[in-house]
Amino acid sequence: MVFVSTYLALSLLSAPCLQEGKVVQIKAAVAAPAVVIGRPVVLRAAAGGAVLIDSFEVDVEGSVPSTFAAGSDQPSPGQVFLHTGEGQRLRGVLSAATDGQLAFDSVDFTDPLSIDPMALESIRFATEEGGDTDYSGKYSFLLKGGDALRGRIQEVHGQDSWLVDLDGMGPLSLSVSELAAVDALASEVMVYSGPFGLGGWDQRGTWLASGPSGFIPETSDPRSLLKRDFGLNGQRLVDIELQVGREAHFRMYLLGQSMKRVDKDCITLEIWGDTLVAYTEGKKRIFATPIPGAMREGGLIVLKIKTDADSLYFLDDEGVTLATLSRPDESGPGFGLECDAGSLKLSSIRVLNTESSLSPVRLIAQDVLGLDAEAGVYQTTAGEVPVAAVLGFDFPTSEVATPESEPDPGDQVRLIYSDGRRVTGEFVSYGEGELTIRPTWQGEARVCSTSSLEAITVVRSGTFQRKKTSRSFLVTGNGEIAGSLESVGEDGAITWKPTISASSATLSRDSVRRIVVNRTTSFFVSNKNYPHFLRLRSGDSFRCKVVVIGSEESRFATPFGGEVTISNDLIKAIEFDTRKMAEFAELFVEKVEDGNNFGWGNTGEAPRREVSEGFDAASLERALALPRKYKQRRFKHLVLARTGDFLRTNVIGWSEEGILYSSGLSDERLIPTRRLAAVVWLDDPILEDVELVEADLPSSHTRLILDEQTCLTVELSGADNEGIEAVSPILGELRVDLEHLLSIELSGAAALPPSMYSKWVFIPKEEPFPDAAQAGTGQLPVVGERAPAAIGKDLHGDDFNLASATGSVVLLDFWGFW
Amino acid sequence: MPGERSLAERYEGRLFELIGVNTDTEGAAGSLSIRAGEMDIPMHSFLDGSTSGPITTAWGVNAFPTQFLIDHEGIVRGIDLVGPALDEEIERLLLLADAAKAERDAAK
Repeated sequence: MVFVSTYLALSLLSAPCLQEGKVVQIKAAVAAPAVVIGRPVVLRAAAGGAVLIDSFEVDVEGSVPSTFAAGSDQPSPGQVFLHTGEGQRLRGVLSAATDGQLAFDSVDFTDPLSIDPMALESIRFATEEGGDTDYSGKYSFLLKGGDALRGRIQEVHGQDSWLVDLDGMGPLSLSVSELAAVDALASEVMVYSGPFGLGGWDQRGTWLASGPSGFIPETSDPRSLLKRDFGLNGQRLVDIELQVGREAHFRMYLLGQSMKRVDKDCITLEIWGDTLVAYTEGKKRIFATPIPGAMREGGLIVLKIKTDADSLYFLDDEGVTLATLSRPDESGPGFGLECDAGSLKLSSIRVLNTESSLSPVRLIAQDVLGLDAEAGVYQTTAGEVPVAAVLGFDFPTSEVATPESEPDPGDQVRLIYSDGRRVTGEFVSYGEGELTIRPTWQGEARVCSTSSLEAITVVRSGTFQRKKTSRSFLVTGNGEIAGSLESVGEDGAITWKPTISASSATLSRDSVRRIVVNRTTSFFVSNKNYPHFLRLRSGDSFRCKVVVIGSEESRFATPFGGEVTISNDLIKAIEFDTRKMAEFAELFVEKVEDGNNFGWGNTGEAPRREVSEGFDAASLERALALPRKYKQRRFKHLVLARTGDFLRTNVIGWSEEGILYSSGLSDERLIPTRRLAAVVWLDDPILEDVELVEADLPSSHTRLILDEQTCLTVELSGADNEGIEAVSPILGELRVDLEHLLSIELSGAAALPPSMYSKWVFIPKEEPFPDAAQAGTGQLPVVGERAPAAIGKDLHGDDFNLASATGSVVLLDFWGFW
Repeated sequence: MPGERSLAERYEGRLFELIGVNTDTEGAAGSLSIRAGEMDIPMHSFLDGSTSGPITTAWGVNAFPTQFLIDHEGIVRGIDLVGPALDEEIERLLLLADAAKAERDAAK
């Protein structure tokens, strides 16, 4: 289990930076000392000139925690995820495959499912990554069809076939005409010359193509399918590639629901608790993402690599040299290593010198006549070449098939292993620990090991056409699956018929989060009959017609059967008309300039906008802030006008003409309906409104979403494949046709996004206590500012101070008899 | 002073004070306090001594009469308001003053 696969594919093939003494900076997310890296951070450098550094590996001391709690987005050990089109997936255990059907025990459904593997897009396995990292003496075999195998070469038969012992598949004879490239796995990057230019896949399957300044990851991968299979490996949280050419350059892919690509010069990863944060050099955050499972706190080790003519230096972020790779005093070949890196340990350093007898070579496959295993040499047309010096075999360009000429004879599956192996073929069967497949390049079915199997994907011939059948989705905590709702039992158990399964299955109500219904007819309520819109504090919202607004409770006509009386405590807002308010702006002229507390406050600048956008932060704050002086007489409502203006007041009633309200100045006023946008009940901030809402919800409540505006909280009482039956605490018994439903939310989560009013409460506003008046400046005081001091004697000669009148309204009159 | 008198009457008992700044020159018009009493001037006034007295100068007043409406917190709310505008504003400010007083009382 890996949280961050800090895989740095570093190509320094042209590496001018090494020769010119530039500093190359590499920052790798390595948490110390509890280091969790799936495989060693491998930096491969091949500098021009006399010295070729083949590879060096940086490993970090410390044990790898054995397990992490499985994140919700990856299967647990022993489990798999079945993925179908449209993002469906099921978590469960794959038990066997017989007669072309997979037997599957879902963690959600109580009944086993029988599934046609060809209905799937992929099956994802939980893999222990990096189980077998012993690559010594092994080769990767890249086939023209895109398959990649790994194993040892046993015999080389000239231009016909090679006998190889493949990992997970056993001995096999590979035809030379099938091979695109063979690479010694000691070299980290599989490179071959093909019709796409010089390029190859690294061990993680990242396509590298040659560019002007070295290898450029992820450019023009000719097989996007392969790239997807590997690049979107669900095991990895982030995939970092570093390319160093004339400029250091990172490309980072954040994997998950949304893929984010970041091209930056330098990236720092930090782990804070359970969140991974990525920064650019200037500490500008690129993204933050939760890390599945528990994480130990860890700092960062920042690696810099510096070079001069003789040495490579590994520095930490403070410039302290961790290790030095330098030419030894003797004039012998290669480099020596000095390392004092604390918890860092450089391991497995291979240094090859082009001047030594073991100069690495790539051989032309057709020139190889045979392998003398005892002597450790390949016999070639040009003589014997030591096995240890062979980096790989190239196959003539003309013989490599172009991607267009890769026919897929039919729907096939591709096995994807976490170490980069992939095998394509016809699925035969699946059993305990092994899987039988008939590879495209091999007539006979082969048994393949499923250890380190990451995924089985289905390769379809031609363009995959999604079935456009009407279907609904069942969403659980473990995935979602298309199908149809069959029934809801007495105990709340839900029976579901998945489209990919031959039979229906039941599951507990508790494990279902929601059912997304693919409805055929939209829910429609006549605006004429139900011109108003009611939003309740529970999250319910629906069209209605206001009948009475009372002091304690109000009455509404609803499209769900007759009139209902609803306590005002449950109401959050009544919307009267939220059409474009600007159209009605001219209707409304009664405005007070400064939006003071008694008149209409203007919410902002023209042009006015819809209610949903009409309140900018400042005007909303002004509307909701309760000045200290009003603590004794609160307003209960905020009335919004179509113009975007607002009025703080107390609504006292409703008539056909409009809303009746009382404000400070007069007893009762009326706002015509044509001017109204909404009336919002402003909660007292002291009220525990959560309790108020929760207390009125059914114990096992469900929310029905009928459209983007209509949501009902109910208790599910039954269902058939036509509709559902439910009881609403407000509306009573209901039956809603499935064809009118958008979704059924079973977990009680807030179903609709909360309305803009949902959090509106009066906020007590702290006002500074008036400070002492200052002496006048000789300028006439300005309205709205503090009056200057006035201290002197009165007409009787007594001391007199204007401040003595503080607390009263004062009319100060400069007068005289003259 | 009929306007001032009617204001004083109307808001009697409310949190409203009419305060004057007298700008007559002492002596030129006799005893001001006596004259004020004779004319039933309904306000408690400063004696500023002249139209260039210290308060008048500090407030920058150079036209007479000038009236400032000041709220219960000492903020200038209006200058030379007349008629209904003055009434309405005083009414509004009185509400605020009452609210503030209620709050102060509650705090006690």
